[in-house]
Amino acid sequence: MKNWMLGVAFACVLPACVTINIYFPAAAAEKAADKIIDDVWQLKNGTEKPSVNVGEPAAK
Amino acid sequence: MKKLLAGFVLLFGTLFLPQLVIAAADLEVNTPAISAIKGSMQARHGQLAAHYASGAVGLTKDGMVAVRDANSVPLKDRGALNSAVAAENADRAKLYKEIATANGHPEWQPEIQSTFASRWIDKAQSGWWVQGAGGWVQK
Amino acid sequence: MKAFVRIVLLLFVSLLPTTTYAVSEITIRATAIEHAQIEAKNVNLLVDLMKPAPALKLSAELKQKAEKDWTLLNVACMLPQATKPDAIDCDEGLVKNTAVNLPFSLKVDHLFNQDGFDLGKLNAKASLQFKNAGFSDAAGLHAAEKLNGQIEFAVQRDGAAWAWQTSLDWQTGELFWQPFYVESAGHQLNASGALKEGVLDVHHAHFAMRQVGELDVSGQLRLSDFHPIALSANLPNVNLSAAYHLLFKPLLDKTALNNTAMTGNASLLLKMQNGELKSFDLSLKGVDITDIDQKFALYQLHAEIPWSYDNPESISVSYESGSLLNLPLGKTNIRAEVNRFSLTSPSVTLPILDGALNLSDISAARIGGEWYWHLRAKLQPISMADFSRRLNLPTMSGKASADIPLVTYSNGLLSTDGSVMLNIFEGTATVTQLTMRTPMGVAPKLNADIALRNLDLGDLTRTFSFGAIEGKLDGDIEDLELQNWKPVRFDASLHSSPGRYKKKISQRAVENISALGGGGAAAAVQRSFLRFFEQFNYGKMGLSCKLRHDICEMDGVESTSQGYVIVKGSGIPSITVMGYNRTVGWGELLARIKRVTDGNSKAVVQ
Repeated sequence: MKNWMLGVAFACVLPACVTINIYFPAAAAEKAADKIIDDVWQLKNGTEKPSVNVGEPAAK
Repeated sequence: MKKLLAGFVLLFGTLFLPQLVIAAADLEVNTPAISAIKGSMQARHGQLAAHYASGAVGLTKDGMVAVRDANSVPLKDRGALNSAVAAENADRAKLYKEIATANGHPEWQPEIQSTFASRWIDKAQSGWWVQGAGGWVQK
Repeated sequence: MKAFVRIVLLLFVSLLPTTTYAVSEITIRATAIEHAQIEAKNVNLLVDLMKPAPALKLSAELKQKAEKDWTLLNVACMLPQATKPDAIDCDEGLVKNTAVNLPFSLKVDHLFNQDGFDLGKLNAKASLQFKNAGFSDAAGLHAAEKLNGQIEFAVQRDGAAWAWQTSLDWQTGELFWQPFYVESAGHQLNASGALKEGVLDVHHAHFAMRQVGELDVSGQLRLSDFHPIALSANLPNVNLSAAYHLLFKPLLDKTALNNTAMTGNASLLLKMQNGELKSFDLSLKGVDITDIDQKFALYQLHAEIPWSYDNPESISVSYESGSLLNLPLGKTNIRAEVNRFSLTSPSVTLPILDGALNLSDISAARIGGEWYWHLRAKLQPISMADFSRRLNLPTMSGKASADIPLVTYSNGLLSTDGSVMLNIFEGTATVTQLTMRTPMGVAPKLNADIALRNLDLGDLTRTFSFGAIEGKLDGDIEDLELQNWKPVRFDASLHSSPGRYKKKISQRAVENISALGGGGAAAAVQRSFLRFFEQFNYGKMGLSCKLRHDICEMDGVESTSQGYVIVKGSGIPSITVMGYNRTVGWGELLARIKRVTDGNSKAVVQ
């Protein structure tokens, strides 16, 4: 009776013994991407000012 | 006997559980290599932002940038524009690779690149040009 | 091929007589004309027979069937006179579409020999003048603006071939042809040759590039696919300061030479066959190269670099002086043998400071667009005092020398076989398993194992103003990884060398070591009479750090139930320094070291 259950359990677990699949952490990757993009594009540093003028002195 | 076997199976299952927990954690993005690439891209952004806004440079669907229409840029500045685009793409390629290796999974590089591709485009300011499935569109 | 012309709608052909006996004006208009390959619309042709000389005015929009954009063509011509039936003079010419704006005037001097209109006896001479012309492709990567100039062209039948001559005078305007940008023209081209069976033969072309120099070219080009069958070019005297910006900087974009200033002269002779380089001969005379970011400089560079696909050649390069990352380079002569895509040299000596770097058994090869090389390197002793001063490091004493049996570079990875031996602080530093990735790039990476033996602690502590310690230091830094020259991982252990020698530690050094351990270590050392002693004896001392993920796991020479021993005292008065925090943030530890070496540290001493 329980044979088929055991079979299923084996089928699930045995492949895991051979290869450990670590699936791509999509949510974490998205979070990491957002953080890097915010840094590179200098978003969220105070107001979202366009960074075109960064490094240029104001006209006098 | 069968019970014993089932117990083994359960034990095996729990042994592999921690691997799944690790996968759910944050990605490591604070290595000096990643910081250096980020710094280089940050420094270049001042130059590229004007070109994103004018439409000379657009964000491609594969997480890179490309010269889209340089006609608004004076001829003498087009060489510098091209160099900036080439340098930015070299940095981006290195960034995706570095994130993958920093997390111990070099094979994740294509997925990381495609994650970035959609996030760059989502976060692009309105007026910038981004590459959709059908070609260039303005946000 | 059967030409197929269909005039869809001919609006009208008017013959407007102004006098009763002659037709004075003919106008032909068509809204659309179709041909097998070409379409035309809004065609407007006006022939005026009454002007002092008869004139023709044409305006039309044209396009190839497959294309989308129409091209506007306007032209007004004086019709040939009876005395010179094949002379045409056109003005107000314009070719215009989304990509091209070409106002022009065309003067045809003659089309045929005097004896008739036989196409086989074509003997044409014409000149085309363009004013304020411009063009651009869709992405703007091949574009020109405000071009003014003149092209003269002549062609005659010469047996089975066509003989041609042309001259181009580019007066003003700017051009961007990725990756090249040419402004403030004043360049001239004179060329002649023949055209036969789809092959363009350039017998001789002479370019005069303003400020840059002169270029002579000859060659053969197959027109069907623009395949260069043969090319030989000669630049006898190039002014490098002008040529660098015009020609070399765009080509060297991704190399270390992309931001330099160059002066001096060069000459180049080059031969290609079937699109492949067959030989060249480059010579540099009195060239100064300086990097704008001051990474390197070479002065009075002379080079003779011949290369041939078929024969081995010897090259020689020499410079009077130079610098690399603030280190002065002395006069150097380099000789090497090149054999197709490989280069070998038995030895090269690069004088640096008071020593020299000897490279030997050099062998390099270019395979599939990538460089591979290996060599043996030996650093003759250089003074560390001078070296550290030039690189803005704390002033070190002693001499450094090194011996690297094999350095290899392949696939962007620089690695060393055997060990790099440095003689520093009267002891040795042995670097093994040294590899470097993209050392000049954005995120350089370095991996190595380092073994320090018998470093003089007196020298070391004076150099880094740590507080005097007498003795000798051993250390092992294993599995070291630097990213962007910052450590991300290592297993380091520093400890006093075994053996008998004078072991003294000053009170200030004790305070400083306690401060490294943080509050926990300082609390272990209680205030006592010991603080009145200038220095103490020690038996052994050591500190280890295992760095992972920005956390340093620390240990000392001995473990106790509460912590670990960093300095173990000996004799009377005896002093022992303990550490309690086994994990310290790497950033925090660096901050503590900086506080200590800056001399702001205050610690409690037993």
